[in-house]
Amino acid sequence: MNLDPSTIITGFTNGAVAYIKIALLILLGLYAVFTLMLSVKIRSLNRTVFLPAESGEVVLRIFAILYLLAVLSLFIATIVIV
Amino acid sequence: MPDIFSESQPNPTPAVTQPAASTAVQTTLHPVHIFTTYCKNPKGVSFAEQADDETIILFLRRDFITNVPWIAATIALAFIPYLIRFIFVSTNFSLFTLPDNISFVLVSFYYLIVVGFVFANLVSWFYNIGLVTNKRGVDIDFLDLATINVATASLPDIKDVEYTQAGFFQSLFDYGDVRLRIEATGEVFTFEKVPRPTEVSGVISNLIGGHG
Repeated sequence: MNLDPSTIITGFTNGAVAYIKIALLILLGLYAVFTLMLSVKIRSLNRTVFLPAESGEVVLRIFAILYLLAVLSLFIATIVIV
Repeated sequence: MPDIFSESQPNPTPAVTQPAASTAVQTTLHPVHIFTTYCKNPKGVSFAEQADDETIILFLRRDFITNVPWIAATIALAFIPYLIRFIFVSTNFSLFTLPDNISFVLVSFYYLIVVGFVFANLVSWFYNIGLVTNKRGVDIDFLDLATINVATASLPDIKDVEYTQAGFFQSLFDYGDVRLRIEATGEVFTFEKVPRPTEVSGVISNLIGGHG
């Protein structure tokens, strides 16, 4: 059996990349849950206290949705490009 | 033929009643903006269990200066990748080399976390609201991402009001804790780090006096 050092290194690198990808996907998945939780809390607080539109409450709600979309986009990007 | 309707007829009872404004105290409503931390007679603010005859007299949030530590931390966090890169490049030191696509995802994830840190802190500050109505005090606390605490204390139950301004920064920026002691249970209801604690405690004291 011929063990070429470059083959070993390439195999090791590919394995490491696979591990990094799995770790990243797990972390991003957990982070997406955290983000979803945050946006649900904002919605719940908006039902507890009603603030006028100019107070920035709408901005926070939109930002929460955009942030969740950004996390999900990065999750998909990790699957596709890594 | 007698006139039924005539302009010259004297009106025995005046139909126009006196406007209520002449007897009631006029209150000017103030708008609440994104960075409002203290607002007397806020305009357009209400809460879920508010009674029909209940009006909000004070709207309070933590003083904005209390956000400075996390804003400073965010600026530091934003520059950490540049700093690490600068150190590695300037010393020609390299532990390992990551492919570009992994580096891109890692750096993007890092900055998403930094933005999330800002957002969580901003939301925590934004929704830590204290309200004083003509009937009660309401304290809405967004303690951490998993806990919302809404506490109310009706004004007749409040025994006394006290405020604390401890330390250099609280005195310099005029903010502090206002504590309401509840008569029946002895519990303390706190509006934390609110601006102008003297005025806040004065307003609440006047309201308690009105009920007593």
